[in-house]
Amino acid sequence: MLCKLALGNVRRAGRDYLVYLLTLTLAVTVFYAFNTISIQVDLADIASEGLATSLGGIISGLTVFLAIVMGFLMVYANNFIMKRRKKEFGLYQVLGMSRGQVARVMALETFIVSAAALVLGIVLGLALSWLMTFFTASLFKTQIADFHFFFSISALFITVVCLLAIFAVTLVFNLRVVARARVIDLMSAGRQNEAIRTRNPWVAAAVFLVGLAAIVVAYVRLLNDGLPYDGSPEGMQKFLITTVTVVIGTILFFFGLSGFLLKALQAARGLYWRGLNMVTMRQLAAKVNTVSFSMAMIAMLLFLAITSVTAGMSLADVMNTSVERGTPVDYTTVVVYYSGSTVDELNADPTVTGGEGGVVFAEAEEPVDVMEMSRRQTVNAGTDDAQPFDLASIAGSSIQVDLFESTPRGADMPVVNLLDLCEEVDEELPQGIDETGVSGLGLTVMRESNYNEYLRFRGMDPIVLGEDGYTILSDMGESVNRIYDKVLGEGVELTIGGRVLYPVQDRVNEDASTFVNAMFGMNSGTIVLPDSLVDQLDLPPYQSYLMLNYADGVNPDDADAYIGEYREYGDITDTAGNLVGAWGVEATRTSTYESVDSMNGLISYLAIYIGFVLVVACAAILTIQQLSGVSDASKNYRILAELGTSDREISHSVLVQQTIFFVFPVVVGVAHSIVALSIIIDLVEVFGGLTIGGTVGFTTLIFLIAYGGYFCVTYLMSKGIVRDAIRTRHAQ
Amino acid sequence: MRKQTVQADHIDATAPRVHMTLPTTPRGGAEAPRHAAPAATAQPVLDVRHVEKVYGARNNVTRALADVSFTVARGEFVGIMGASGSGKSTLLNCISTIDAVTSGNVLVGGVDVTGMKSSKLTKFRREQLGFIFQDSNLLDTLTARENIALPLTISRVPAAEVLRRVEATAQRLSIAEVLDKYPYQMSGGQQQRVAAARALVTDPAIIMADEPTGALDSKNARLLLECFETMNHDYQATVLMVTHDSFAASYTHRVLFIRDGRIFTELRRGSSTRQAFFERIMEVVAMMGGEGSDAL
Repeated sequence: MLCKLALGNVRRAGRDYLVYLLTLTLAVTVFYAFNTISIQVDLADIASEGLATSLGGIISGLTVFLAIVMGFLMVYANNFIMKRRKKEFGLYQVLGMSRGQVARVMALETFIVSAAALVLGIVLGLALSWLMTFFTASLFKTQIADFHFFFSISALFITVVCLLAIFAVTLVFNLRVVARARVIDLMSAGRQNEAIRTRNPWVAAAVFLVGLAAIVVAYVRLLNDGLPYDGSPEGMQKFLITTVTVVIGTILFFFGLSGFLLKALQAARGLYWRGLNMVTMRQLAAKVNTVSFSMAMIAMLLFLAITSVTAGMSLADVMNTSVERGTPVDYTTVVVYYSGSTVDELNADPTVTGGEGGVVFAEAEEPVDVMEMSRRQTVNAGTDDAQPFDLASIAGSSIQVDLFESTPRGADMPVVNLLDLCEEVDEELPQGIDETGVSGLGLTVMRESNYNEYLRFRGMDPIVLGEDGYTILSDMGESVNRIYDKVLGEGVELTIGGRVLYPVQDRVNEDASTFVNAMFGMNSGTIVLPDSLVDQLDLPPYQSYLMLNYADGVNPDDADAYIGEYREYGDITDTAGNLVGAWGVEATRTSTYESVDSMNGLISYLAIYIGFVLVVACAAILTIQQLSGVSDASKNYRILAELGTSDREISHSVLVQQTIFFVFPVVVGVAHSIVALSIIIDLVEVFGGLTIGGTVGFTTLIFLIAYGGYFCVTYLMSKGIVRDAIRTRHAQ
Repeated sequence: MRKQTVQADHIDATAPRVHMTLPTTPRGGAEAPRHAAPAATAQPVLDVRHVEKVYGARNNVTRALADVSFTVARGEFVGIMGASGSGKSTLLNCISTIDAVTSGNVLVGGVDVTGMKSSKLTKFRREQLGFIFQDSNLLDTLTARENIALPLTISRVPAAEVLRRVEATAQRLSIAEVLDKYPYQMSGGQQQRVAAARALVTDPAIIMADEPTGALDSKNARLLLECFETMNHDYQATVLMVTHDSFAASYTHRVLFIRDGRIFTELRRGSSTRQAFFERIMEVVAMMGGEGSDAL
């Protein structure tokens, strides 16, 4: 019997439940689809296996967070329904149903809707997850070799658990309404008009201006102070104050917004006393108490979504465009030499040296022959198949690049460092580089002859330094190159080792500055000096790079596979047999491309997931608020109709109100994002220059579809509510 | 094609009516005889001809109105009385174009409204009719001033003109002091008088009042009715009031009694006092309510 009642109720209150159902269905769809990521990655034949697991893990973690967001949203949507139906529940009690029975009816209703949402959501989620597989494949730049339809039990499980949690929370809230409310309150709920607390519009306008001022102050602070990358307490405190200022500013902004608009329009008498303008403004002002806080919240959420999506996708974009420059050869490997202090530390530690008669660490006198050293590595070590690593067997042309430290042996300070260069050209240090650390850290040094060998290897024209020339290399993008370009362009004289040097190039040649295969630029600054000067300075080696192209006739896949085999790394020693360095990261062109693609995919994926869910949540909250607002005000619209206002004019008024509600949070959110992004981009540039381009277009499109869709639905449903309200009167 | 509702000449649209535009120069009380119901002049402002209203399908027909005919002259204050279910509200809805008649015609200012299209009806309602309901039906988000101004702003009357007319009407109906209050800050009587001002401010051909005193205590009811008298007398507003309260009806010039969808009888006040008219109304009510006079 109760079941029948509940079913009937759901059917009857269909429209009220529609928003709830829609939002819950969407949540289920998104949860399910995104949690099938590991299967999608499998299907898309994405090489790196760790990625599927780590991505799956991150998504599951995120889902919990987003489930909480969604949970709040559902409670909100549910309250909207409950508000509407208090009277009905009161009536049940008057007719003799116990509170327990009423509660059961309600629980059943919630259950029916949730179950419907689950079924609908899973069906849609299945379709979405299949579609997304292709999207995932394109994000990770792979092809789908063997597509088949799939169903993920684990994704279903996660989704059901989240839904159950949401269901439980909603139920608790509903039961509280029934348990707490007195029958008389329930019965009169419909008539109890929402108290219209009117605030003095002058005060509201002042609040608005204060909020606006606070936002501007926060913007200026952020632009001046930047982000606290170094994590210093002072920086963090500044950042915290800025954050609090912008949050408070945003809230005040929205609390004062309608009052301000009201005052502004009232000042224009001809406009205010015209058509439904004053009704529109008053309706806005009347709802401000209930809505302004959530508008502020939504502005902040949108800000988060826009910033994370744009920054994430731009970062991915950067990697994509720089990967070609970042992979000059088929294979690179690095030897990192021990510095003097490291050598002392290592020698002092018997657990590393093995005590008396063990190994001895030493500073290298000369760079080692990297190709030679690689023969000491063992492929398939510990098996019967063990054999020396034979790079020569796959190598065609190769080149070794040797970089030296810029602090001469026995000296304390480098001969050239970034801070001095900045001061020379009157530029700030790049964001994210700490002033105290940089003064001791010099640029690395390269011999002219070695660099010309490198240039020939790369098929480029050699440079001539003569006895008093220098040039600077870097592939880290605008943030540091702006300094180097200025140094070279202004012909800054450098005095090194008693010799005055002049630049021979007028800007950094980024394409001729890369020594390793990598996703990002790795060369933050290398100065090329005449050989005689380098000899004179007596500099210790810093790193040696081996850059190698596969020989003609060698299948690159086979070569990659050979390099990819498990290997035991050998010691790197000088002629005396002392350990002078360690192997650094090696990379093939293929592996670099792959890691760029997966990193790329990962970032885009997470950005879209978070952004999408946040935007949907925001839009759903606005929709629910608007719909409840419209039905609260439907009496007013009916009166307007009776006074002879056309339906078109009423719809127009509703549209204007809703546009303000939907557009202002976006405007504020976008403004926040632009300021924040301008800072973040500065930071990201350190990794190799950021271009916000095509990705933003894509992001905007997704955003518009989701947010705009909700806006359209809201407007159309509001129109329906208003039309019904008008017709009710007419039919009486 | 959809008709543009913004009409610069909307005031002229009410041109067929003779009396002056409100309330620039309200006519002094001395010029018009206080209780003389104007005789039906050449063209009545309202002409109801053989109106019939039938609800329901073939086998279950309810005849709410059966062949109702009457006229209301310009500047008349007419009451319609009847028990609940007698058809008086249906009649008002049919006249006010909120409901459609089954057959017959309703002419307002000589224009037949029964065949009008809905877009035209909206404009007609806005310009020719004023409404006062039992619950004041004010917009709760607007101040009294804005509520009264609403019909004018909807008709795109210039702002200065709007404010002047609102002010003058409010002065006339003694509600100037509540102009900047919201409905929830006013008493029920004040709300009803604001609603009356809103109905009056557009200078409509006819003002329809549906049980306007229904929700008021006797003191506020009297204030409102005196307010109607003022409207009728000072502004020559034509008022059609549906009520089941004999006391309220005694303020009118003429009362139509409706029973079972037909006009049962009609009383004219003539030159008698309000008290005498009230007693005559009570007699008819007692006569009509054969099954119990509390039916009214």
